[in-house]
Amino acid sequence: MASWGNLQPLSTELYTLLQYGLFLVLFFFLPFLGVIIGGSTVSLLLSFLGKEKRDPAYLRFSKEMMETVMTGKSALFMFGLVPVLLVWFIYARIFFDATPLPWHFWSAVLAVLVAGFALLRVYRSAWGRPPSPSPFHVMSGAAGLLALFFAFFLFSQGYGVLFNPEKLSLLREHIRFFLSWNAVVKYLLFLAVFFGMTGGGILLLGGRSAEGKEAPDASYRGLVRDIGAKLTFLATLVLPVFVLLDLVTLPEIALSATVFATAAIVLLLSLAVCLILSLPSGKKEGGPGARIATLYVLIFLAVLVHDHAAVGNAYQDRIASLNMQAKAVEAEHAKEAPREEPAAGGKTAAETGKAVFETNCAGCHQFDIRVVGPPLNEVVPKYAGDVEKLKGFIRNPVKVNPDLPSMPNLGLPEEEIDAVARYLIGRVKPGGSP
Amino acid sequence: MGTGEVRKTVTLLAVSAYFGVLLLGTVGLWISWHRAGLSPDQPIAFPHTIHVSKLNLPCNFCHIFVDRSKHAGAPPVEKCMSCHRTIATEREEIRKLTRHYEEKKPIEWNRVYSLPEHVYFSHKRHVKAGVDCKNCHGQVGAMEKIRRVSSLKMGWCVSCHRARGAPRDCATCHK
Repeated sequence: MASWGNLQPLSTELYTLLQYGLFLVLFFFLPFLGVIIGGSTVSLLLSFLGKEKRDPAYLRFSKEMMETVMTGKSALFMFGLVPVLLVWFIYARIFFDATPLPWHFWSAVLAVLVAGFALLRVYRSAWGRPPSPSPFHVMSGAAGLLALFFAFFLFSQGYGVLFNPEKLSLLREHIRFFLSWNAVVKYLLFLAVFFGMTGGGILLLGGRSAEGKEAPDASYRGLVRDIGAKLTFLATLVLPVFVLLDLVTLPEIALSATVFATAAIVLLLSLAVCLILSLPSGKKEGGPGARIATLYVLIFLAVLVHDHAAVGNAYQDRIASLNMQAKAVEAEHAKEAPREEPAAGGKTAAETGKAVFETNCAGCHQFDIRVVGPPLNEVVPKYAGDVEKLKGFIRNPVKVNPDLPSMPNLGLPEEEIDAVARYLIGRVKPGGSP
Repeated sequence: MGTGEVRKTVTLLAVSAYFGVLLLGTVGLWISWHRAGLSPDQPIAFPHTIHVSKLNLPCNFCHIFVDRSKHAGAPPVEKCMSCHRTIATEREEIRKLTRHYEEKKPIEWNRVYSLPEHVYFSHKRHVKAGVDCKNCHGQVGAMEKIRRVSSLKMGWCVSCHRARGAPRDCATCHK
């Protein structure tokens, strides 16, 4: 298992930056993968239906669909594979001390993705030869699609780990702990968004022949629009169920008002999509494509903001811990600086004592008046110049005056206790005046 | 009204009702989360930030029973007053505190961490074993308002017991 253990903790700024980076990567990766999954599913279903019904329009649209979603090799590499590498890198940095997901997990995701893309390209190439793809090509298309579903399932489970930091220590015990119900829900939720998006895309672009060779006739356009509308409508109906299940399955520490509000927004946007689709289509020639597509972009954004907020909540304490560590390091540096001085600058014992007093004691003690503790001009004379006795008290304070709060043990190093005790005894003369 | 239009209306109503129910569900979850919440409102807005981070008070300065008892304990009002008789007395929250003290009325803090009855848990054992407070309670010093940071689920307990080599037989926690 690759060891990330030697990586240094991040600064909070870098941590936040990585979280934003992650969601930027997802913003490009998920829609890209989504339309490939959605488009290929539609294309394969239509090629089955087209053969059974002997309807060339089905086959024609199946072909068009595949040609639109299955892009060239370089685009597949850039938007389909590179993002997984980026997410791998971001995870390794975000979980700097946790060894969450080993390299073979990410390699498996990548391998299955590559296989899926390759098989789907075989299926796409079949459309070049009329009249329709052979069973071999359809089979390879189906296998490719299954591979993509599986790769995305694995990816979702890895994504789910982000929402439950308590899992990180379990993951060290056994890799199977990366499976979670919340991640299953997220997988289905994203699939619903993918199909909704694909449907929206069909409504927006469908029926316009890519090559422009044959002007699409009205009946073909009607069929395409019908398929797009049905797909979007069904996906948008099931989407909110998963949004609700996500709220139920998210760990409590990931929840916040923002998480609930964004879930409600997704529901309202989905309602709008369904209403537009079930209302009588307007007189506009364009149809509802543009509105549906816009709404789907908003739905996808709301889902990402929802997840981003949940991850932020889940890691709130980890980020606070990084902050505290940074502050502790700063304080350590600040403490070290004056300590080095006596060697270099020849600081006197009295000066050290004064410095220790001002950093540690002056918050509660003054010489002439009571602050939290009693005025030192009153209490120090009780030690009658006995430095050891005063040191004993500072080392282990006990309650003397019941009217005053007990002094906390400050845990100062021995030389600082010595310096401050000498400083106090020296400054407050046994007579009572400084 | 033609049959087409009736069908349209029915569809519209059905869709709206369906989404209405789901929205209600979301709002219901929201409300129940807000109530049971990780960070309930407290009778006095006590900032751990000042007392822990700024003043560097150790946890057991106030939670005095943490190494002696099952319960860490909230400090008696006198403990707060021993400093706040003189400090920040003009603040509204300190005035509330003073009123509690004068009226001899305990402050009813709302529990943030609670375990079910069938779980036996002792702070003393865990402190004695060297478990840091923040392992379970998080960076309390960074919390203006106290917030629960762990699920308190059994898997969470067991994973730590396993990692630290603590006993894992049922009777350890389920007496």
